[in-house]
Amino acid sequence: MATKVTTPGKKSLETTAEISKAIKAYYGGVKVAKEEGKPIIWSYGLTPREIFHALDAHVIYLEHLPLMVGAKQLSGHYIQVAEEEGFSRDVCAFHRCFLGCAVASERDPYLDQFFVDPDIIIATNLPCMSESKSFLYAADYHNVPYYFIDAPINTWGQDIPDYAIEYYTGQLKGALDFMSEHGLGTVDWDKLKEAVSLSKKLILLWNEIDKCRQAVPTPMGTVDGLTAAYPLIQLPGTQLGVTLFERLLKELKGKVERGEGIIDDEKLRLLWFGVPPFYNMGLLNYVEKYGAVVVKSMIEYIAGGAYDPSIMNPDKPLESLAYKALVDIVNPTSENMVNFIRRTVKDFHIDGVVGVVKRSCGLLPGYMRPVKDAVYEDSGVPTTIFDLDGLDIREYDDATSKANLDSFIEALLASKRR
Amino acid sequence: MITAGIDVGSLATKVVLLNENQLMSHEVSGTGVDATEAVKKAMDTALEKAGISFKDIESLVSTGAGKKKVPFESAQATEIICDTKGVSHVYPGVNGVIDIGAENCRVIKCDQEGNIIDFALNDKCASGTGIFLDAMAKALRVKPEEMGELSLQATQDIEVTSMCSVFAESEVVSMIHRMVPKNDILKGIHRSIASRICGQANRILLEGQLVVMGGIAQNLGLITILKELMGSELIVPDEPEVIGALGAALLAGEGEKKK
Repeated sequence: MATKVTTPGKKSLETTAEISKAIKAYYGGVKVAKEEGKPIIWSYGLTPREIFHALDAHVIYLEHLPLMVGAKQLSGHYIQVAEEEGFSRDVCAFHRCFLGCAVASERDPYLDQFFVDPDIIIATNLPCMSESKSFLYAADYHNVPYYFIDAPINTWGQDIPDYAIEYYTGQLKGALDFMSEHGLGTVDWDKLKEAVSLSKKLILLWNEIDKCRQAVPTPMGTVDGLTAAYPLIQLPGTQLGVTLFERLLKELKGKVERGEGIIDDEKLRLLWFGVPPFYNMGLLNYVEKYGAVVVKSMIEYIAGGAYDPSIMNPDKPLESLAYKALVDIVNPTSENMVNFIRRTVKDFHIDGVVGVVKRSCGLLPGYMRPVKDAVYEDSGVPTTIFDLDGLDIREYDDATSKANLDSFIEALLASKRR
Repeated sequence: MITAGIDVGSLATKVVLLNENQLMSHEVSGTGVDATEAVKKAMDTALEKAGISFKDIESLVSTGAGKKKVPFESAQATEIICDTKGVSHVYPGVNGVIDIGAENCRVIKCDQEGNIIDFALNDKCASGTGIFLDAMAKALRVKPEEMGELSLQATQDIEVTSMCSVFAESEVVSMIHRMVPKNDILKGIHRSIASRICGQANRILLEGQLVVMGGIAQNLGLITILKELMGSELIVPDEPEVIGALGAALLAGEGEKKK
């Protein structure tokens, strides 16, 4: 009998269990909408989701789908399906996975619960150009209309110039018109303004949640944090997202007041940089035997969560969404990402950074060296970097991953004892 | 205080016994398919050489890929910690360690006091490790221990480009068919490994005076090229394969890792 080396992550919060239910309910709703003949959109989590909520559109986010499939350890199967379709192993594992889901002749019962074919595809190049190609293939395969939102690469840092905002606003307007032309009705601008207002509220709550997490001991680790980030990915612009974050904040505040950490004796605080192994989130709990906690993960911010919410102006909804998207830390400019990690290390009292390289990613591995050097120079905090594909379980090497973590943590503990 | 360090590698098991941090005995033997049995045998031999019995050992630390197979009650430590400890005990003040074992290659940067600053492990690929060399030795029909000397007799530089041990083996076989002299191929293989190790070392900005340990450090051909590529002063201990076990035994003496 084969020995299973992977384990699911251990969550410790009541609200994240509630958020998990909300995820299932969301996708259940998409399935029902399809059965009722409503148009279904496939898009990506960095397309401003508020525009979809303003149209009451039902959307499957094609970076979230692989995460869910990955958590059930099914990603390897669908990645294989995409490879059999002719996609190279160099294509991003996330894209191979969702393409495998898209073209599979048979789907397992788990995926089948929420998978629906698209009626429209809204693609983008943020954070990576390869995504637009994968979406184009899916559009051809399903023979559905395809719209591409072109995001300018951020070379400006935090101050996005007006012409870039104007350009991206035009792209969003085009997407709205395109969706209207394809059966999603006309845009209710008041609703869009309300969505931006709720989105702003969501991020303000997230910032407060982050403040709680900075407490020592931390009341929430990354296993919970990744589920907790779901409203950031799919629910910005909704009351549900705000309500879930309000509950989470209340739960965390209670824990901070009582001094409750996720482990009894917190000795080390780690930051995870790169994609964690969604098929083996137990690896993040593995370090707890040393008294170490993965306090924070950079991936939680991928769908927006590191920008200044005061800039969001509901009276200028598309311009606000343009700013939020273009300033995102994964819009390729090393400055924002590196500065964000430096700040996170300080704010969260991080002792060590774990950087994992997904070889099929064209974006994050390039940040590893600059981040490692900047963090060390800034705070004297070390970083370990090793290969770990967070989605393709076939590439996973448990012994090597644990050897890296063991060595890093032992060295950190030895350094703390000095 | 008598302490023991056990390093269970994938090919060799090493035991070191110390009394007040002074060497009493050491033993290196093959791990084989039964690591537990290999540890028992190596320990028995080391005890016999030292003239003591197992109950005389007060503290024991195990390390290596097979550390969980050690049949005695012992604390465990990673190879990174044990390597650094062992090296900085024998060569205080060095800047780092390169440990080339059968399945792993580790590079460690440390400060003058022997504290770890940074490290990098090889990924799951075998290139740059002893297993890779073993595969090449088989393809060339030479004994692994002869590879170093033979490569030093090379008369030309041959490039082995494949990093993957399977592809490299095919490349080597094709060279044999093209009648490329064995010594030249061996030098090319060593250059390929040394280049990979050098890249790994550069990742953590390893430089200065370095100690090369692990069984592969006995391969003079590889060390010669590694010196040339790295431009650093490389020190090879007389018995480079036991440094990890020595470090484990020293850690056992520090009180935190009692039996």
